[in-house]
Amino acid sequence: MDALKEELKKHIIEELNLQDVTPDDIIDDAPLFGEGLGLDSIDALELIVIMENYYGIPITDASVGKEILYSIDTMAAYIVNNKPA
Amino acid sequence: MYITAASTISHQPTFRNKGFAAGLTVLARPSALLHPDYKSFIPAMNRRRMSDVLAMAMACSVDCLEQCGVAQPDAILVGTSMGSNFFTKTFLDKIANASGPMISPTAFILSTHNTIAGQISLFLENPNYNMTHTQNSLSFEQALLDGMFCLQNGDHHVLVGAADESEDVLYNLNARLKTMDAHATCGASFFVLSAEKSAASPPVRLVDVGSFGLIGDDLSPYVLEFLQVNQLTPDQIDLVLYAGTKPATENALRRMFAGPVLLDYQVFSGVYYTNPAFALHYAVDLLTGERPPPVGNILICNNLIPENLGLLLIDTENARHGTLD
Repeated sequence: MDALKEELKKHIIEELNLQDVTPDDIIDDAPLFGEGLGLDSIDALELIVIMENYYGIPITDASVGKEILYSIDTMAAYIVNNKPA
Repeated sequence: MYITAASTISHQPTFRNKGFAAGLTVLARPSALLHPDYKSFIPAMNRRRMSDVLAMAMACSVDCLEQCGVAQPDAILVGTSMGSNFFTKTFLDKIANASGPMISPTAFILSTHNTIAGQISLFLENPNYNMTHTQNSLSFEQALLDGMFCLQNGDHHVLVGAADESEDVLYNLNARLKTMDAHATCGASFFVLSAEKSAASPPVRLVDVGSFGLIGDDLSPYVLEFLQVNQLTPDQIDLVLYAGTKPATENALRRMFAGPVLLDYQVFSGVYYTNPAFALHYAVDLLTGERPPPVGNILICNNLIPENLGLLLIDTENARHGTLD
């Protein structure tokens, strides 16, 4: 799980072009949006693309997307529980 | 209406350099965009998604608003010919090289021309009218006309600017196809137009803006009518800044303007489709410098694309009808 979280952080930093942010700066259980990392609605779209392109997991239900993309912990847990066989 | 702030990022030392016009030299080839330290104007979380055109537009906007002490303009109007070439290329690259079922949306969102005024608006948290005008070489003139209409309809201060960026792929393509021998550059210039003059700056008026398409072979009738509408004759113009095809544009202007100095402003700005905005800042800086020359009425004549004609007329308050000291 730790390796997955580390990989997720690297994808997020690269795809969202988070300048001056390192994986260590992203706290596993901190919110990615708002007061946490400060991501916005365009970033949410990029996170959905990451989930689909890197892990083969589509997020099509907006009502659950907010919970899945809440933090690194929630994203990693969803990947582990829903990764295609 | 008055030009109460001006800011330009270009291939020349124009940014936060009041009086730059007096010291400008002909732009050397090749040349490079002179970036300011954007971190001073744009937080890193915002800067990370900005190509040159957005970063320049944002920094110039912030600089302008600081100059005139306006926190929130009543409107934000931007002219751009090409929008973000960088994100257009990035988006096309992502389509061509897509590695998964989905394509990143950011490049598409930021490749749209209207993202410029929109991003400025979001950054300032400004809820007022914003619009990006894209009319090829007349994009800036169209944005200025929109700004003038806003002031005529009761707005007090509007932010108006223009921005275009270079992209190596396009530049190299032009070079290979030899479609353009000009010195291709880029830049952004922004202004605050105000209904009232500011105590903090010498009063320079934006008198009128003209934007004409499909003008045919002769720009003279358009120029003369534009002056006539503004109750001026060619001999009352002190300086003509122009861009166009040589020798046609220059010859036509020389036939009309016997007295005034004719200056091809592209020797300073290089060539990009919204460079009349550079010329406007150059003119404003001439009029408001520490030692302004004896120039009152300035006409900017943009004939960069032969079938298009943009005309900007600015003056100092005491310049009308030849009454300049």
